[in-house]
Amino acid sequence: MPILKFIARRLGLGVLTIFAVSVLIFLVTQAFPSDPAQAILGRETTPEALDALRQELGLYRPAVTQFGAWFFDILQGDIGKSFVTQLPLSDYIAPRVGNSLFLMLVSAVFSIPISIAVGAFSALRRDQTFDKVSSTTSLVLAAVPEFVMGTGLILLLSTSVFQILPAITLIDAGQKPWSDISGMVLPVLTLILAVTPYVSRTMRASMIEMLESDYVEMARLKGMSERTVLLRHALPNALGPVFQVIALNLAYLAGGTVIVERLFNFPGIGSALADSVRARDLPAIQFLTLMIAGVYVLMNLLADVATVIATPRLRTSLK
Amino acid sequence: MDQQEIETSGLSRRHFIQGASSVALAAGIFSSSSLNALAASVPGKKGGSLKVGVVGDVKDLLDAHWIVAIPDIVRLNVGFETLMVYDENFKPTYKDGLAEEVSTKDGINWIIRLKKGIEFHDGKTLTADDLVYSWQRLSNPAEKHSKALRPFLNPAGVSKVDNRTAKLTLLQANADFMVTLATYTSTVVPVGYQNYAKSPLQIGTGPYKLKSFTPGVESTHVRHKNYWDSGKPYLDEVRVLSFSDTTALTNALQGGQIDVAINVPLATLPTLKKNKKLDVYSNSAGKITPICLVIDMDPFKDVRTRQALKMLINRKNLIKQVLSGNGRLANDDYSPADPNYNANKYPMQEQDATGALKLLSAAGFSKSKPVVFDLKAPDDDAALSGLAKAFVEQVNTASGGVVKATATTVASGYWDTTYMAPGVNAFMTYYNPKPYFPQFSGMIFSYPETNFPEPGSNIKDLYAKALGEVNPKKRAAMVAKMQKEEHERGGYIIPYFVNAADSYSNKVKGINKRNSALPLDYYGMHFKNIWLDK
Repeated sequence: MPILKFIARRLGLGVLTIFAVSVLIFLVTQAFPSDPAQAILGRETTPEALDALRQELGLYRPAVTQFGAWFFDILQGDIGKSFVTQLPLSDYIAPRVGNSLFLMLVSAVFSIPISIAVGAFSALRRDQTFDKVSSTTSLVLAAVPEFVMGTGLILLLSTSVFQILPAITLIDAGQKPWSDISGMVLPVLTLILAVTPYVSRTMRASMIEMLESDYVEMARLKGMSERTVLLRHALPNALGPVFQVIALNLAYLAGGTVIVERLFNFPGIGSALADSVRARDLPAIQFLTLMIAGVYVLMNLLADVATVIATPRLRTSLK
Repeated sequence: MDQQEIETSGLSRRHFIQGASSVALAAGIFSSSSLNALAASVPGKKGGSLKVGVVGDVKDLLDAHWIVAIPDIVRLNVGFETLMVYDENFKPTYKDGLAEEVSTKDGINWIIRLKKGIEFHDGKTLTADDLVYSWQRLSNPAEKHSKALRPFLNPAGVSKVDNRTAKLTLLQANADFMVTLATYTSTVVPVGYQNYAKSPLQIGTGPYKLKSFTPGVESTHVRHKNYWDSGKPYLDEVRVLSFSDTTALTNALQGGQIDVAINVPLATLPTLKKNKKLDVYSNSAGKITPICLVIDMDPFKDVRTRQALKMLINRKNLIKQVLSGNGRLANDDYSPADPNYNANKYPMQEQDATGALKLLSAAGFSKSKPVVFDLKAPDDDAALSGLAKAFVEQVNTASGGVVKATATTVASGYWDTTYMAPGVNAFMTYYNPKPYFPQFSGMIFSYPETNFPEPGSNIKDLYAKALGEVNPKKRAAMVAKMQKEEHERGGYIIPYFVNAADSYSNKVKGINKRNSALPLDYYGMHFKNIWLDK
């Protein structure tokens, strides 16, 4: 099975990438200007207390030993304790991972089909009204930063013009992410508007290329129905490049929506990362960054596999 | 800054109580029963859940005697109470406090008697044992919060007199120790109390008891059924929600997801005031955001440099530029509500570039040899970074190039890495309103930001003497001397008093709009006065 070999090779590369990222993360967090012990105890502490805490946190060990211990613990599934709260990090991060995943899924479920449909239809109706309107709209949306879009939606639907939707998401500790559906409408809408333009633009370009290709022309000349030509021949090949864009956007949604999460006070991993950086909570920063890097690696892997499976000429060229 | 608000000092109040007899008189005027009767006559609707929003993060903590950031102050106030509470003139009163009477004859021995029938959240009656435990915890030198109290009290000085009475024997006379009793972190906790990090069971006497707390997310506090102040509290529960920033906070208030927003940015006030569903409460009790010039470092070693910088600024314009007008003039002084505020009647310093340039020239500065410094500010408070930028711009322009200052906003970590750090000669700080003596003590002993006073000064002795002085006139004279030295040689530039603004839905009732040390009149006095009109 050449596809399995391909996946195994990509997985191996992914593991290597993650290891390289973890070294980088560790080095960067070591270079932070403030001392974690000082940050925890505040400036009213005594040198003895600082010394004791540094000892306790293992900050006096050589950097290689610190890195080794940290990496080994993570491999064993122990992500450690927060420097700030002294509580297990998993208690803090696990619910936020759930919240962010839910936000990603809901946004993806809406944005992917919409953007593929809009992109494909624009390609079919190239240079006609629908194409012009959708192209202009997606260009405008792509140019507007998320926080502007989000703030605009809040002004429009929550605080100023209409007051029909909550301005923030209120998910309490211990509650499921779907406990505040109405509060999720605006963040999801913002993310859909942020992601859709990229995917639909790529889909449009890719579809146009396929529609102009020789084999589509061949299929048409052979007298196949337009429907078969589109669905059987053009669409699968057009989706290849789109999967890559989708994967990047999903990875972005899963790990990097710091701005949207902060704007809507959404308790996800983006805001957790921002919080941890503020608090100089090194274990949290290290784990969250590593996790987000992992999501990117995984998403890229999935996209590559999906592309290979969806594209007949790539699938057959695997050895 | 105000990381720790326990302040032990005092000042000559007009109402200083000379001996036990006048304490009794004061107790009569402010007797809890008469005022409670008055308060109870205002009908408040029972029930409901109040959602309070505040900017907070994973560093949020809960300790009855220690705070770091604003959410900690809110949560401390929901569950815990002090012996006395400041009124709008920063005078400690018995109303809303747990003490029935506080008396001293010599300023050293302080007798505290508790009100009758006060119950903790777990049903235990408050006794002198709890008082002894609380003050021993407060003054324990091993605890962070004892720093300001340390010169005045150690755990050995706390003793029980009878079941409702305890005695504090101070290490030095402090005629105004009541100020310490009224400081909001001087709360009373039951014997054995530990902070949330050590024990999630947070038992106090306050109107609401803790049900749940997740740092950086929320805390829920439910009604204390046997609360001592009859008929109160009104709400079923108070929820304190943490927000990542002020934008989300004000959006949530305008969108109706929260009822109260604590500490809203002054720039949002015009929008919030226009909103008919909201009330804005701007407190001008005397919050300050001083520019700290370290007086034993160049270029500020020469007193003329300090004086010149104070003369180069246009204070009125700074209020407009930085606070959008939400402040009032200050003369590099503080504690405007204090009876001895501006005891020397100094006129307000107007912008005087000519005078300033003369001083700078005499100090050896010129365009070719300018005064150069970098003013550091944190990025988490626009009031501080905004003032730093505006200040630098003003002094550079007004001096015509004799001053070449820059302003640097330090990304997160300012309070750990830059503030009061060795080698930093100009930086920003802030203080919540408080009387003159605790503020002086904070700036000289707890946070010696400017390294004032200069060598040879006797201002610290003067302070100690003034603290022990029971005659208000004599104390006022000493305070005037202290203020003279601060005015002439100090390292703080304080251009204005900042309004602290909070906003809430107009369904929220019962907030007394008076000037107070804490927002919303001590958060509606531990939220016990607040009710929801549905």
